[in-house]
Amino acid sequence: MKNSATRRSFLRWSMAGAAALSAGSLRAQSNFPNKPINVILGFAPGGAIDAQMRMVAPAMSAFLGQPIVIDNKPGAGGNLATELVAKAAPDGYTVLFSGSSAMTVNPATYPAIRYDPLKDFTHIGSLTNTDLMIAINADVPAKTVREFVELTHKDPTRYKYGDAGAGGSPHVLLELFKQKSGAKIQGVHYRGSGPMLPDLLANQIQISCDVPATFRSHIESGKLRGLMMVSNERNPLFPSVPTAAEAGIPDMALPGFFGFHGPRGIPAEVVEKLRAAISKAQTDAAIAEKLTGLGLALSVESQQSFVARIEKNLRLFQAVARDANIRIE
Amino acid sequence: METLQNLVMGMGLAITPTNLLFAFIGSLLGTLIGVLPGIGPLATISMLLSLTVALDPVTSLIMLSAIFYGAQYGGSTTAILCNLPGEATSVITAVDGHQMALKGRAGAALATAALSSLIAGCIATALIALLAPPLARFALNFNAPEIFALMSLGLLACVIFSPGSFLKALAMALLGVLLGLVGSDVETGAQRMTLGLAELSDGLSVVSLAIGLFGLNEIISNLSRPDGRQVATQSLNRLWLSRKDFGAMLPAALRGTALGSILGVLPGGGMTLSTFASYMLERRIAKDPGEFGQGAIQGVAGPEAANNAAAQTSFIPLLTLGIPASPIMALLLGAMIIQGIQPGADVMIKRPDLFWGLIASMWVGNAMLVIINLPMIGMWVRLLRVPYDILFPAIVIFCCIGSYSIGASALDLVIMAAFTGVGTFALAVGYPLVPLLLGFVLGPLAEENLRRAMSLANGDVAVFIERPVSAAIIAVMVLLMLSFVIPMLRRARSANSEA
Repeated sequence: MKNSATRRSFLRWSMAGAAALSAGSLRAQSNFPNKPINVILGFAPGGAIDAQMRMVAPAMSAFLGQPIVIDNKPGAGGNLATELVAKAAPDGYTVLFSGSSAMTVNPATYPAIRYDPLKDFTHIGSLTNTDLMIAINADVPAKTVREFVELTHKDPTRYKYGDAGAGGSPHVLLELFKQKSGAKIQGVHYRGSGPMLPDLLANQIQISCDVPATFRSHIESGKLRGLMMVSNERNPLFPSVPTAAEAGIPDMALPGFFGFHGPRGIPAEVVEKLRAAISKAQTDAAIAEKLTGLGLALSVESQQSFVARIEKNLRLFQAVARDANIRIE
Repeated sequence: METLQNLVMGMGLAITPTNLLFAFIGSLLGTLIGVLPGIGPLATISMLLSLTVALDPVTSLIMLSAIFYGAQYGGSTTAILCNLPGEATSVITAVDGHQMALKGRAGAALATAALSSLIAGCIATALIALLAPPLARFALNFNAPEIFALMSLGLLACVIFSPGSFLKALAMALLGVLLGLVGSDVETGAQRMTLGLAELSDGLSVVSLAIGLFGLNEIISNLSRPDGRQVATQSLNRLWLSRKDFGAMLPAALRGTALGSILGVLPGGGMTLSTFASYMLERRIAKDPGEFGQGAIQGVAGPEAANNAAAQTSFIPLLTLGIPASPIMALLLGAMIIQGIQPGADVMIKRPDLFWGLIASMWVGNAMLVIINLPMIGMWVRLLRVPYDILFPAIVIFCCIGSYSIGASALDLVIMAAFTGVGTFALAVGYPLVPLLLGFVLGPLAEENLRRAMSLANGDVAVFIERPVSAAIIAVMVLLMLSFVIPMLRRARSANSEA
């Protein structure tokens, strides 16, 4: 069973590679793009992924001279869309825009996943970096990670963490936080940040991890308190929230990213063209302002560093998922 | 006083020519997609999101919101005319609305739906303007134990008040709950009853289920009748409501508005629950409950009002706290983010133009909807005169398009066909379909919140009676059960003593 599956996926990407090298696609790539580009999203409109893509699409489309069609294909924690792109033709007309979890977290937490993040994709480039934040309800009498951990030791069944979904980045990061800090907290899972936030505001759950935009207005109004960034850099929107190292958990700096991926075997020229379009959107001042307003940082890096980062984070999340026994089947 | 000033400011924004135009476009579009089965506001708003980037934030929210509440108006049309509910919220409208249509009162039924919606929309909008922050605080204290209690109450009431056999209603409700559990388990992410199909990981589509169970099933039962479809066409020309109709409609619409306004603020299935709750209430207090299911005007007015009131007040958590209580509200939140507006507790303070402009536009939009919808009633009613051999294939095609458009998945068509079969079989053996649908919508919410409440309370069941709101709901459930069981015992005893 396992053998034939790997052989199939091997065949799939080696055939894809062969197709890319064929004369036909060599001719096609010189005038790329000559038809609309499909950007597949693994989530419904209304979230950070969809919002970012719609912010940058006009600028990218203007640069490429072709429309960008945004195609929301939600399902199975974004895995349906990722699988779809893994199997698409590697011509640059079908790309995935996703959060880092599609490549670094889900493959670690879903044992039955049907794609290999390192073998089935051309990782085109990242658009933004997002440092997740750990926040607590302001009624919890703790100002720092250390105070919070001490509190949980006094009453080990009292404190609960909530996350936007079992098996997603915040879930794995909160388990990692538990391991590294020794906090005694139990997890409760929600279907998205939307349903989770009311329970955090109502102190039903005491601590959570999510993109800073989720917590921002409630930190400003004093209902929530930022405990630490899951990063080694402070976020300019929350200058007083310490970094992971400053909070005493130095190995928890794991910046997530939002980026573009295509099926394995996209010709280098096409990748370069798409990377140039991403960079064009990043240098548009109005777009940059909207993206940073979401608490995101523009990510400028080489393709090599993008791939290396995916590989490094995947290994780390695999280790945490194994230690914490997070398996979504 | 300050509210009044703000409202005047908002109204000033809402009646600028651009905003009036986009409120009209939204209302019209909403009505149209509401009429088409399956193609709902969710799909329409997602498609239009990219286009709205070019608009002013207030204008774009005015249009997108109008699509949403406009669709609630349109949704009743096919429910009444063809017994075809395009969404779970119009299932109950179809029950008495379609009976009215069969008796030649389609015009009156459509007018009732439009007027009840107008009344509800206007009152609920006033509630948002006056009471949004306190209502949002109330909703924040409505956590897992309360949601579980409320959903259980809804299920219990549906089974007890279902006409006909109690056991049959219970069986169908439980079947609905079971079907609702298909998909990812929220606590472990485990795939439940998905047959290994990744497309089922987010559950069965409620639209495919509702269209199959009610709409297509109706077509089959019409076609299987030897004398064809029975529609009384002689009195179709009488479109308006009589004084007597009006007297029955108005109080029912007001009660529906009250129920819908409260349930709409709560997270989750508030809108669907409010339509069922209103229907059960109307039947309970009616002088002649036998009329219900045969074309009672209150059975249309109450649920339609509840649905629209809930649609309106479901904006409250979004506008006051930045919390989306439903997938549609999540979309509107996305629309704000794309515009560079950070939704949250401070939108009212930072962007008063947005908050008050949107509220004022809701009155404008509701007024437009009635102006759009009332003249169309005559046209809709004439649709009933179209020969059925032409009408039904068209309906089937629209159902297929609508069902497919939601997830672009052929599996949804298979599901729709399967539930057409389930519906036909259930009707043939005399099992009611409404409890199945309610179980499907409320069951998973009850389950998820039961487990969440248990996790949060470390497994202590006492949490349900320690918290006042949840204790009160559970007390109502106990009373309801006693009121059902005691007369049954009494009957059994008197039957015994006679024997």
